Amino acid sequence: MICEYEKYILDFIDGNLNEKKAKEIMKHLNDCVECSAKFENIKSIDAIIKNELTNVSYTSSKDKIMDIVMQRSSKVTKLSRLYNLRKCAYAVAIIIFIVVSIHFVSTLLYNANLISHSANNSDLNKTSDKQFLDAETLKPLGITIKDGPPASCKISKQDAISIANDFTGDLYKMSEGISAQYNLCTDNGITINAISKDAIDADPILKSKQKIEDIPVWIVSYQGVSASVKGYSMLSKSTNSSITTQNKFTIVIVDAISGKVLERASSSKIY
Amino acid sequence: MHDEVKLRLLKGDIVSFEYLVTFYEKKIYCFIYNIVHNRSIAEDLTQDVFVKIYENIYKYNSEYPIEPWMFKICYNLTLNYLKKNKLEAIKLQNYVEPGDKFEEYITKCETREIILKEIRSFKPDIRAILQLRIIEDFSFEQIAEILNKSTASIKLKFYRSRKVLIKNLSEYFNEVKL
Repeated sequence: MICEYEKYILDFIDGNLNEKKAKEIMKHLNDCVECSAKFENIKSIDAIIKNELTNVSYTSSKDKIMDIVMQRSSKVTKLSRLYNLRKCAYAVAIIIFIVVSIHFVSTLLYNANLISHSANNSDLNKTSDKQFLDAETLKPLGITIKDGPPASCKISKQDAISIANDFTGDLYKMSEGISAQYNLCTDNGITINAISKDAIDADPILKSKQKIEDIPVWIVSYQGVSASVKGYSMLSKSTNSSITTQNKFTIVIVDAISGKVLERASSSKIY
Repeated sequence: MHDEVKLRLLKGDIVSFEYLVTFYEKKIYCFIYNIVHNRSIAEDLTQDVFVKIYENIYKYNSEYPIEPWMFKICYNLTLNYLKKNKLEAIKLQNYVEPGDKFEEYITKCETREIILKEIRSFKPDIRAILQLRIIEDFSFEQIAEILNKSTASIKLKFYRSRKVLIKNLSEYFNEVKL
């Protein structure tokens, strides 16, 4: 009678069984004399095969090989150098390609971003060079302004408007006109604690003053809208802090050095 | 093989290459001989293999073991030779070494001859797979890389041919039926 496990023995030797089956066969080999004998027979045949296939008489050709190799060594050395140079050249080419690609893509994205902002603003045709807010208008808000030296302004007007637009969400869409004016700003109604640490750290002037005093800023003003306008979610978080005057406007003060919105400079005036 | 030797080899260092030849010559020769079954052809091909290895040594990636890379060159050269000389289709099981008389060959049909006869009954790629697995102990992935085939097909060919080989040899040696 043929043992049912017999057919698995070769697969067991070749490692062609799953772990569970292999364990089963291993256990069975201890119990079954017939299978155990077959297992040993196959192992001995394997040993014979291995021995016979490797036990081939041969005469070494090492000297002949080395003679040929010696003749070609200089050529191989040159080829090796060329190959390594080529590998380096490929690596350099790949790095240049990556750098150029990143630059190209970032330029594209930057331009697209500018176009997008430009399109938003031009479509609305709201951006104006006119300074809507004079010192007299801002005075009731506790803000005094002075003309600032242009050299200290690192953020462009367009950038300031973009930053303010991003900050206020859809407010600019409701605005009748948008302007940005560069001034040295002093706000008596605000303490340094009200300004985000991020904004303070980003501007050395602000950091040294410990309060908003003659800080170069862009005052971006949105005409015809106040902080209480529906959809102006950013400012509506503090209902007691809306800015509404006779001529409604909302201002966002953007640090001209760091581009940070001094959004926490709130009290009841500026957000 | 030590990393240092590998690095010197990559630069075409002669002494390191001589070490490589000393270490692997017999292995390469046996591998070829067991496929072509002709001493003179096997010797010539062994020389060609080592010259080719030396000429291409700078392409070898030293992060990987050198043996599979060498055997790939060896297998390709051997297979090309067989194809070029239209030896692939020749049934080698009745191959007689030059100088052997047929009667002598018959009388020498002992262990070695029986095994060789069985091995010769397989196609060259199967002979290569059996050797690389049984003798060189390469993984199926490495053999697949050497023969430029999928791992699954290598496994299938190996298990099939091995069953046939063991079955036939068992009948000779032990009368074990598998």
